[in-house]
Amino acid sequence: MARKLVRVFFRDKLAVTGLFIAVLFVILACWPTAWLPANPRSTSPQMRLTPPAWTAAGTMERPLGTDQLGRDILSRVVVGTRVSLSIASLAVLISAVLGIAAGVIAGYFGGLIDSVIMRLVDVQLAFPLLLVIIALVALLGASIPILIVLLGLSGWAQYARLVRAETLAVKEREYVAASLALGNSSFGTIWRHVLPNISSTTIVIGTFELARVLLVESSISFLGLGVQPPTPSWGSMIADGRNYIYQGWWVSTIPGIAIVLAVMSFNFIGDGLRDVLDPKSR
Amino acid sequence: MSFWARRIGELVIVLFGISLASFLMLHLTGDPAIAILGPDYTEEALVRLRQDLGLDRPLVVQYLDFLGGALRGDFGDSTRYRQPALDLFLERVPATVELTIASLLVSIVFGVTMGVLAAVFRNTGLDTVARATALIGQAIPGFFLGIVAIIIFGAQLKWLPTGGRGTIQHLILPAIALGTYYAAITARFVRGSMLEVLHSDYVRTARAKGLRRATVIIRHSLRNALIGVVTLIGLQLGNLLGGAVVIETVFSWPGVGRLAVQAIYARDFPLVQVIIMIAALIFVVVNLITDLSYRLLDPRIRVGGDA
Repeated sequence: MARKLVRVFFRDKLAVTGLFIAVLFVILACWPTAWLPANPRSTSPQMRLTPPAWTAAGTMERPLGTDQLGRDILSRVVVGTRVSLSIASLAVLISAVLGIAAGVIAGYFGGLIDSVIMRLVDVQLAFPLLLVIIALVALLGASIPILIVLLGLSGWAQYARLVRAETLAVKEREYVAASLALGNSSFGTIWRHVLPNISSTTIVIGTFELARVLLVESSISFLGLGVQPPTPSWGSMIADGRNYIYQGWWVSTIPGIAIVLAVMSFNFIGDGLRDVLDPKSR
Repeated sequence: MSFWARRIGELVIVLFGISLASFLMLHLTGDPAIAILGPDYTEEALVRLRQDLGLDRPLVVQYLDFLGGALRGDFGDSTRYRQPALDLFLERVPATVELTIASLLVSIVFGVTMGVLAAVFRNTGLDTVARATALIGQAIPGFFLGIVAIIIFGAQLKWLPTGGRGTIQHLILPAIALGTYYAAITARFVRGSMLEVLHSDYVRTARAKGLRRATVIIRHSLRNALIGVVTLIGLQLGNLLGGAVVIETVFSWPGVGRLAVQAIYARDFPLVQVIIMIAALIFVVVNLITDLSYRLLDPRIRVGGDA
């Protein structure tokens, strides 16, 4: 069964492309940075705004060019990958734990607790997420841990809504009734029978959430309220290049392409997984 | 009727939750007085400001005061401009509405056209191009698309202005930057529902009656496929401020989003609070209207239950 699903997934060209790009990004993020052409933080005024190597004025020493302070863009994009991917995955982990707990409780027990949780979801989803996060970052101080927690806290509602719907369906199955009839507690039944059966849904949501959080984090860092210099991040690198669109188009464009590729790869994997795990949605 | 009674009841509860959350967001995460004064404040100035702002009263009293004011349309004063925050907000609304309508047009025109063409010419080169464009459009952050557009059409070709508001030319680039994501979502959605409708029995019947292919596509398929787009439009309108925050900053567009970002930079938290709260109110009301129009457009749908 599982092997068949893997085969279906690998027949999907987009999903395989997405997986390939995502694995590449993860390797880039985890690999020791000794191979990089330069220290991502070291500036060199005489090399400022060097264009990428494939242009006439470029040099192989700085394959993707340099920014307005002469910092190597390739090195900064690679370290930015590490920063952005860590923030996104930790944040998604937090929202997954919170959202799955809330969604399963709402769906399984129903009644008042369900109404309360779902109204909280409505309230959370009504707020303009980006604005709330940058306001809170401005209040609490911009730091990576605060960013992770805020992004994590903001994503639970989407999770809770979808997990609740799935739990409602699973709850009606015979094995849940059987488990309860055998004298297992509600929580034991949830742990052993409900959670394993909604796990595929949660993985699909998680993949799309990774893509979404990457976009939100890059927007916040672009506005200067996320990852703070000298730590490089894709969003703040794009902001750096904003003032140099005439002299150096590559300063903004290259980190932007990295974001697009990363987001696209997670979306492709999510689409592929959803098709495999839920053939109805095809 | 009971559906509407419950829907309105939920709305009231959610509105209450929104007011409480916007209030607590500011009062539990830190002292608004310190936020206004900045890190170098004297104890004396702090005590005076807290008295001025009424922050020395119990939290419950402060909240009831805030709620009472909000119900009368009084959301307090901006600490930076020394003016009612609501007035500052309303001043910027036309610019944001203009931008939103333009981006909505972008997303509907491009999204529906691409979706319909992709479905009608399924599995052809046209379909592949449309789907690839939609997949990329969904992954590009609006602010990055905006900067690329500025580089190409502003800096290199010099066809369009790169910032500010005024003529219709000023509107083109920001509207595309803001609308592309939704155009991509709309295209994927329309393609999916068109394919479903094109294989339905009534479309087959219409074709069997000998109607022209174009008639069948437009009169019988498109109308049904578009019902779901209403939800997407509602979603986009409800989220208008979310996207506008960054795009307005990129294009120096004098709207609510830019006002919000400037207020955050200036630590003008009463103003920020109003903007966040009104954005949430708009979202909830637009959602309700979307539900309503959905039911009116498609009598088959019963939005009842717990959905």
